[in-house]
Amino acid sequence: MRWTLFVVVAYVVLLMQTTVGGLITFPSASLGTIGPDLVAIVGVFIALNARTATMGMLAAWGLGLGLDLTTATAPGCATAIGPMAIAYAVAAGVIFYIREGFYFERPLPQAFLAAVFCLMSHLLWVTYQSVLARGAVLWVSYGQMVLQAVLLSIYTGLLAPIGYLLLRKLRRWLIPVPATARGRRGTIGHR
Amino acid sequence: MKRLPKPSAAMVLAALMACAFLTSLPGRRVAEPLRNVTSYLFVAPGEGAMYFVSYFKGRITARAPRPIAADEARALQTENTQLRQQVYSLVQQRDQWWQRATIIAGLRKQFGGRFGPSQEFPYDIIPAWVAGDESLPYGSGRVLSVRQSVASRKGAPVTSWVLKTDRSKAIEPTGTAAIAVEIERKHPYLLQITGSALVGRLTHTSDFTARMQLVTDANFSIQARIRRRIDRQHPRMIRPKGSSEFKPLTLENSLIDSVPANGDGKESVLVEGVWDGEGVRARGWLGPGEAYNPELPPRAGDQLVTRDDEMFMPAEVLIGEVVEVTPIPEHAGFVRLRVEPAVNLSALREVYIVVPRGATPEASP
Repeated sequence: MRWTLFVVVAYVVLLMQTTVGGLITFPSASLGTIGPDLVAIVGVFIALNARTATMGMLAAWGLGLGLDLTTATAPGCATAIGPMAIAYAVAAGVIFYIREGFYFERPLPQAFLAAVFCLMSHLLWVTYQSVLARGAVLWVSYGQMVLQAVLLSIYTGLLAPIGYLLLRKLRRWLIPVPATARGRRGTIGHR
Repeated sequence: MKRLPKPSAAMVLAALMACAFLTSLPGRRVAEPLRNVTSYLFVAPGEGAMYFVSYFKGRITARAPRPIAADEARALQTENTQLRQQVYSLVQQRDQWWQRATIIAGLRKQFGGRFGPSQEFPYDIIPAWVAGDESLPYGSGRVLSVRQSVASRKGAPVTSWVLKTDRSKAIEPTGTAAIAVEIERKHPYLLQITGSALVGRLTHTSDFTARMQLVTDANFSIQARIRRRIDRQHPRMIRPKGSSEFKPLTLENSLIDSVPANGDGKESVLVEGVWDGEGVRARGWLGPGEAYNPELPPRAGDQLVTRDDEMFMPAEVLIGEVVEVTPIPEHAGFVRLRVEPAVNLSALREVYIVVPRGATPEASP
């Protein structure tokens, strides 16, 4: 992993998430705001291409910390720093270990894995923040946020193949010796 | 000298995970300074990006104006003419008061402020620009770029401009109305009416950046007032407190004082527990001889405004307009109001932080 380039990519994606991400975010009177987690797409890309689980989890930890630092409003107004870093690292570890079962160079597995990554990390984050809020979050609000997390994950999954396609152009600079994509027909090496 | 072994990646990961866990425990005490430092990295490039985002969002999410009938527009034209005459009269009155105020100011200066109101309560309006949104959509907030220090201004209210255009121009002018419209075409500044509207409150503050919690955030709450809309064509009759007869709704008797308003976490503000009039009768709260007045409860079109006796912003500033009134089944006799913010919050660009001059508001958000 080339960490300098990784930091630059993480910064640019976080900047996009906090600015132009608003253009693809939709407020709804019944469901709340639904927007994609663009940072999760980078997290999934790293988890799918990292040579080792530890490297993937370290990179995801950094991305999660970036999200923690740029999110101030949270359930119960607790807004602690650290929950998303932990959640992202755990989700990246899980994706790393299940990636062998998918041919992840195809759009459908990419979308599915991104949705799984998002769902795991966001459910963990919402639960963690709600616990830290110490009784300030009602079950109704918690349910509402879980619903938002589910919809956000589906939305992110739909956008993931596009993000993966763009990130693939950076792969040889970001991860010099990437992992190989396996499928039912055996291992397929990268160009 | 023996060197320490280089830590493995797994050890680094374990240490970072432990760090993340430990920083999450103190909550805001650690989070606020760290976020304030991070904001500096994102504010400068974010400000330019948000300019385009607010422009496009403004175009996409622009609210369609309420359709207006021809007779309604004519009535508005007549009313506007009357109001304009009143404005001229008020300008003359203002000039007279201005002269008196100058004399009083001279006397106060002469006697060294030993009597009369010796201290004013002036406010500063600090302009700020939206430089970023929240990363995650579970709350409603914005990062602000401020050109001057706003540290220790936590809790300060944030307003924006709301622009309204003259609806009486919706029809082609005829007769005398044509002359009035022609005059206004020569004075285009008359065609726009502006006012301020509350959009949020500061939750994190540092020297040149701040974080604002929007009025629609689930954790936002404020004591506000409801100002009933005065419709001259369909006047609502109410019986003011202490009066025995019904009177038309006026600016003086149109207020419902002190209602709790909370963001719903989506795109509206909710006002819970406003009595609906019918419930008052059912509970026997009406005095002897008092009749139930169906005009009294709030209705769609009424406005939610801030209280003018608030310490941090003693002014009646618009928050939004009531769009839905629904009864609360578990509390018979009370209604829930859904209020749509006066400003399109998704296209927010320029805002104004209202701070008392010299004071340091530290209200917990």
